[in-house]
Amino acid sequence: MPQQWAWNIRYAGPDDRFNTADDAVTLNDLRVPSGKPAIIQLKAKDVIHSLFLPNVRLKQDAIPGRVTQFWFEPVKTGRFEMVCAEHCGLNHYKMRGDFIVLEPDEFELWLKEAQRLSEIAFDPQDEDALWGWEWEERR
Amino acid sequence: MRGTIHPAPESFWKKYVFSTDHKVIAKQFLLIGFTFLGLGGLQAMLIRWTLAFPGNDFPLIGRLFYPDSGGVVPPDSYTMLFTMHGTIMIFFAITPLLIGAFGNFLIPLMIGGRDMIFPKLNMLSVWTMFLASAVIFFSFFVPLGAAASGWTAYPTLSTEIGYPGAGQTLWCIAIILAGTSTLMGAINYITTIIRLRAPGMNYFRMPLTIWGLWLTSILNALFVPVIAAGLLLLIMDRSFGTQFFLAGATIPQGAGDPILFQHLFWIFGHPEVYILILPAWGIVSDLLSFFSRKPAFGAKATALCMVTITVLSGVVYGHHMFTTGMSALLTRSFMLLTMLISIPSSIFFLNWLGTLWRGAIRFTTPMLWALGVVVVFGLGGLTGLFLATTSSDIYLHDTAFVVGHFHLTMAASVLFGAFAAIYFWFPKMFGRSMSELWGKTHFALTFPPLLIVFILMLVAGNAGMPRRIYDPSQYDFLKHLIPITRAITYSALVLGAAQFIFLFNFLISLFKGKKAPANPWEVTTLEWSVPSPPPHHNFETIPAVYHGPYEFNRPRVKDKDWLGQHEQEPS
Repeated sequence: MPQQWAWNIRYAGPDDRFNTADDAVTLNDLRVPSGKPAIIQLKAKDVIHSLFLPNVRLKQDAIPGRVTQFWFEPVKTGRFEMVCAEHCGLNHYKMRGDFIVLEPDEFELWLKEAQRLSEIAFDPQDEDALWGWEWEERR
Repeated sequence: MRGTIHPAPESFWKKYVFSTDHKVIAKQFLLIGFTFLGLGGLQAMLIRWTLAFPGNDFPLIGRLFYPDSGGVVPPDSYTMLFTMHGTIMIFFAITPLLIGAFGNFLIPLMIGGRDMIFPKLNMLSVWTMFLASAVIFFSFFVPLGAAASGWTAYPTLSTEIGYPGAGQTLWCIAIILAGTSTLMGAINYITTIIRLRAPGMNYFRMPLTIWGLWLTSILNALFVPVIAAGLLLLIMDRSFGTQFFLAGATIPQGAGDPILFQHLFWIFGHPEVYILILPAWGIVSDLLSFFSRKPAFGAKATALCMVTITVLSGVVYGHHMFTTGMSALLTRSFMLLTMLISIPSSIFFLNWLGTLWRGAIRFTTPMLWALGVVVVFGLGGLTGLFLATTSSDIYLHDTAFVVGHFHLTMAASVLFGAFAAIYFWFPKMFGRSMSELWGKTHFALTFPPLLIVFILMLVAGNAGMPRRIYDPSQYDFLKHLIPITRAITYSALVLGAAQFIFLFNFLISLFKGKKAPANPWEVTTLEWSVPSPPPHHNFETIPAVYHGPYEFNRPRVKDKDWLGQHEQEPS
């Protein structure tokens, strides 16, 4: 979920459900395993943003109040960038993030570590920590 | 009664300020257009400078605008700059120039009328535009500055969430006022063309310039109310607590839809690009024929193609929204419909080439600009195909490729069309001639840098350069594009500087230019059958029209190679 001016990213935890305590949450750091389809759902917090991944030649708008989605299958590992492509205000140009494609086993390791860190940081009292939504089933 | 007759005004105010004469109103629109063209052009220079040298002060005059930062454009001002550049160029420069000035000046003269059918409405139109210009100009000076959410003003950025300042509200008001002015003009033009054509001037005897202006007016009358409605809703969201476009976590109770605005915007926004380009197409079709000294190839087909495009332009707008998550069925339909436009466009483009083919071309200044339109519009049209195709658009959307594409089509083509029109009709408007030498120099110094600017933008966009970013060097994958960005900026500065040639040529010719004869270009249309400048009521007696406007080298006409529309062919 993008907001002015950062990318909040959430991965489902072991329970395979979103918006629960065991989710991995990162900021401006999108990692996906290579050779597997990655499906991303987006919803903007404040204004319209657009997730642009130049290296996979895709972009998808993130819109307040509705969920949009797109998918891709990276074939190369490496460190790339993600860009906000929709003018979203003063610091629009600074809204960059890392987009990293890892080997599947490396990705699993990283995801476990990210989950551990997120669980330590998780505060059930903090409503803002539960900004996610249940995965929306699409056609 | 044919031709609305109002007495020739005596006093200064009635004659030059609150005039109902279409020729004076045309000049008033021309003045508004030029003023904002200069302002928008200056903004373009500041934008280009910032993109190439972020954090460096703009040379010479930077400190004048940004004294606090020592002449450096700060990020918040940068967003204002590109927003206001787009807005000003579209609504306050091109619209008054081509539609306001030339629409007003040419329609009665070319169809053989004495004035517009509603002269008072015409005056109201120009003064509403003046009011709109004042609002947009003074919006720079309110607290928090002018609008900064892009010329597209997508909510929720354009609501209080993104920009709480009064600038954005004033922006909406100014566009509604400018739209009202255009709407009044449109109704006037449509009615005038239907009702005031001289005897014998049937629709297919009208010059293609008039066809272009007519179709533009029809699109204006249909679609300007849509954007006005959208902006009114936006004003209500901003100032009266409604939630038409509000949603998301910052407004938890908001049940509106920001995408609704995008639909309203582009239902207008896509026809708008045809609104801007249609008059230029018409003017170019005419000038190519006039200076090739042969009939416009397939003039009827060109007119019908313009009609087809006018109809299609209303049903293709979805291609601006491919990345919003629209259903695949819709994106495919919009892609197909958009692609269909290339068929009529190709037909009239080939008609242009057919007109030039084996013509006795006279390389006058207006002809050079018209040929320039053929080149830049050809390039712009071709690059449009990549944006119509969903799969390539998803990558290219919101990149510099789009910026290059629409500048080639609706900025460069339209501006070149406007320059062609000014150089061509200046003698008729002001009774004096512009310098051909300086006109050609102006062209020679404008055309190559313009091509460099926009072709390199296409290249940068193809490499993934997003539009509307303040400092491209934030991104590693854009660092290697910095030389291209700088090359664009240097060319743009040359391009900007070259426009001073035009300014001086225009001003000097206005006061010191050679007195122009009635028909300096030896062409056929009705406005050249009256003295330059035309008398108050244009035509002493309404002329009878015997044939279309493209009669060149008729075998029975002996002493000249053209035959005016009002002249009968000797038997």
